Amino acid sequence: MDEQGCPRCKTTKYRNPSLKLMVNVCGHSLCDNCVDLLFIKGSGACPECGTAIRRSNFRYQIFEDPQVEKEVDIRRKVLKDYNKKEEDFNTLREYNDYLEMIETIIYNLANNIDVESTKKQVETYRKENKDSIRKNYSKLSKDEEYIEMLIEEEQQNSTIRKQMIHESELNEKNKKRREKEALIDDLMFSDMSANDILNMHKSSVNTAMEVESDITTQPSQTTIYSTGIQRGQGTGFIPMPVTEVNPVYSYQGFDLERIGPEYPTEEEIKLNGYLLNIRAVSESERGGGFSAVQCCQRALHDALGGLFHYSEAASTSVI
Amino acid sequence: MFASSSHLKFWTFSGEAELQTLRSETSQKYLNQHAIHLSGTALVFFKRFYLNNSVMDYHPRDLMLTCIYLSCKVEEFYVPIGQFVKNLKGDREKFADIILGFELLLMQKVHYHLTIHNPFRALEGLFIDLKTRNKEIDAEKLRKYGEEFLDQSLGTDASLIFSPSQIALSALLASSSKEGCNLDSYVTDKLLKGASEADLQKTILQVKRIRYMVKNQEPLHKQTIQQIQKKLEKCRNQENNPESEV
Repeated sequence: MDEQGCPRCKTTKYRNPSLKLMVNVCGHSLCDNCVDLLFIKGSGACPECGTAIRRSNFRYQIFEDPQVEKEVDIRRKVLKDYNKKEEDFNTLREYNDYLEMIETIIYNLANNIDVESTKKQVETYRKENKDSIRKNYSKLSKDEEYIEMLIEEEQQNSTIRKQMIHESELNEKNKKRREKEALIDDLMFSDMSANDILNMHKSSVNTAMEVESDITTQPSQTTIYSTGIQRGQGTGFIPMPVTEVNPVYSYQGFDLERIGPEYPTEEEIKLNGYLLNIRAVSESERGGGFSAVQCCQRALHDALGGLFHYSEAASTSVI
Repeated sequence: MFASSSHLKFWTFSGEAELQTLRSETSQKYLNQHAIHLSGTALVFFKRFYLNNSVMDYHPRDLMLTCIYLSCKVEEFYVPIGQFVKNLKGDREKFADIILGFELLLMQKVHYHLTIHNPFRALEGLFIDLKTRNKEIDAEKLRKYGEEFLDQSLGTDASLIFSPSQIALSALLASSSKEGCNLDSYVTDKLLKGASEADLQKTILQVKRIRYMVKNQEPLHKQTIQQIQKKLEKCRNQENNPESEV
């Protein structure tokens, strides 16, 4: 499918980005402008297949393929009648057969296979099971019941929490008022100086607050979400970020392995006149970062390193 | 304006003799820089390769070319393959194919240990040390034979047994005995100063062995080489022969 577009006015999504396709029971799409135009009277024939359709049955196309929309429509209609629940069957096998049958009906209707006979089948089923359909219509399946229950529980919990908060706020207010009154009483009747009284009250208020904050326990949290997932589950799996404390790096000099006599150091090379005996470094070479000491050192290292090399096995071999 | 030009100052010479010396100096400088190192490295590759591989498996002629080509790369004297084979006689494209075909194999067989410590720089270091610490002796006098000695040592297995500095020291001592000057005091008192008696003895023994080894090389005769070559043609592994049909 290259480009979504209205089959009637040939407008495409590319030319009109705000294009909205709508679909009806027959599974053919139309853009909303064409729907407004064609179904001004409320009902008419589908321009594609000629099926009589009503404007109120148009909905916005969600899936790119209108065929899918058609199937969704049919499924909804069929499931309105075939609304038995798992509890209505004796065995799982029977229930699965029943589901299989529904799928076959939907497939047939969506793909125009034996439409008439299938429709008849649905009709007879509806007549035969009129009572049970009506009964099941209002009945909820087990899962739905469970979810309903959870939601209810959550709501209850939240109202309780609200109440508790409200009460504690009220308490606080009362207490403050009482403290204020006590302070004023003290100030009016006590012999102590006003400053002392104020300080005393302040400290007593502070201690009281501390005690209270210790006592007040957090309202117990709900443990289950409405989806049935346990709250707090899985928190144990969040790994604590472990910060490794490494010792601070400190440089340690290394000893070059020589298998030979000591190398002269850089200073010795400079002081003892080694550099007089090698080619002078030209200015352009010095500009490039080359120094005579390095190559002199390299030659000396080559000359001295390995002088003591000796493998024991050699001692047995005869010259 | 010729009188004040660079033409007169830098590019006008006294005569053909000066030009000749300049040219030979230039080429000599170039050769010294590269040629010795190259042959040393190439020969070490060659020897290392045939330690664990048979000449019947891989033909030495093919590997020799590959070793030289690889050593050019390792010693940072890269010669493109086209130019490299220009110096060879015969079917050049075939040679190029052979060299490139064996190059990776060679590197693998020497375990990618491509850095070779040649004795040439070590000898240079000894000369620098000698000039600095023992001014009585004219070190340059020793250079010619010393380098000759190293060249000869390439034909032996010395590079597989001894350290490069020992080979260089042997070259220096061999040269000094030839020139009739005594370096013993320099070696024991200055070069190996601070070494234990055992180390000293070991080093002296090693030098002796190297000098003996280099001196007593068996010269190769053309006849024997030809004989071996003929024999090899019969018994070589045809799977590794780029010319064979196997």
